Amino acid sequence: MADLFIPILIAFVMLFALIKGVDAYTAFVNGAKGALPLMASLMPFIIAMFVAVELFRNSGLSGYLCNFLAPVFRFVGIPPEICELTLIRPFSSNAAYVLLRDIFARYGVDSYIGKCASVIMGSSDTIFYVSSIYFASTHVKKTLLTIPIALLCNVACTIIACFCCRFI
Amino acid sequence: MLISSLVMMAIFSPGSVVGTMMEAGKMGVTMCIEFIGIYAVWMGVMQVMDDCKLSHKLSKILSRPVQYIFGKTDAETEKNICLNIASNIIGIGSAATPYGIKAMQGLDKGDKRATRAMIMLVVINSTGIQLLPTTVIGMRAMAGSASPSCVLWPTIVSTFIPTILGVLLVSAIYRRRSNG
Repeated sequence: MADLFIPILIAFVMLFALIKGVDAYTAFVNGAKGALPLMASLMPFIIAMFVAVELFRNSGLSGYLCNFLAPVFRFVGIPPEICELTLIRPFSSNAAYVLLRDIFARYGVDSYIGKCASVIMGSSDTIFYVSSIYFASTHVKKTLLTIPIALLCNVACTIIACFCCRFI
Repeated sequence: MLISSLVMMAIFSPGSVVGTMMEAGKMGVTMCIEFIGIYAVWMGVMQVMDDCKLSHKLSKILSRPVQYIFGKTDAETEKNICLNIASNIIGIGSAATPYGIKAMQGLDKGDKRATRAMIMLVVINSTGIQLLPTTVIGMRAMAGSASPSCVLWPTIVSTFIPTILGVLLVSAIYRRRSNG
């Protein structure tokens, strides 16, 4: 079912473009053109995050932290293997992608852990980054309960994600 | 985090520090190259959607619920909020941010305290209301998954329930006393 969704969606978009008289090929090429400059600007950050994450890993620090938190994670039904991912996700997308790729390599894409990690990655966002750029454009100094509410939603998202993955 | 990791490694295995860093750099480049492919394909599709004004259509549908959730705002701000949410749903995050920032500025009355509508917008944006987890599906396909998009419906469920939760929480806590 889900495998059909994306081909159908893309076909629908193309059909829609045809009806609207939009040149889909030119539009696609124009959009795809942006990928290289975007990646070129992101690359230093991704590499920096890669180095930081690997050091954090290899030093054994993350191991201690996750061992310490494992009982809490197990209690709410989150596999402890994705503990690092859930902790880093609110801070940095790039670091989280690094961890996701590593989870795929280590436990397999189609394993329960791989699926949970994918869902968490797809359904949450970098809370701290989003709220800082959004509030930075205004005069607001006191963000009140924005961050706590966003974090609570994030926790809910993680728990629901792991729960849903039991059925696929 | 970085400094404490370095200190620990320097104490326990000083020889492996440089090796780890270089290995990480190499893996970083590999990942970037994979990402260029993923982004190129999706950004192409997004551009087609954008040229068809699909996000504008979606934002029209959203205007009712937005009026209800955000309370009274001026027309321009409301349009920006709708476009922000619509772009998020379709997955053009890079298009969503400018609209979001414009909406925030529209909601800004020079007050030092965040208003209810501002908090609402940030919470909605930070729960990531994305219908299509494009990058994740791309990564799964590259990692050789048998069914890259099998994570689709759990992603949708676990993105919308927390978003609704967030909206309810913000409404419950901040009532409508500070419209803006």
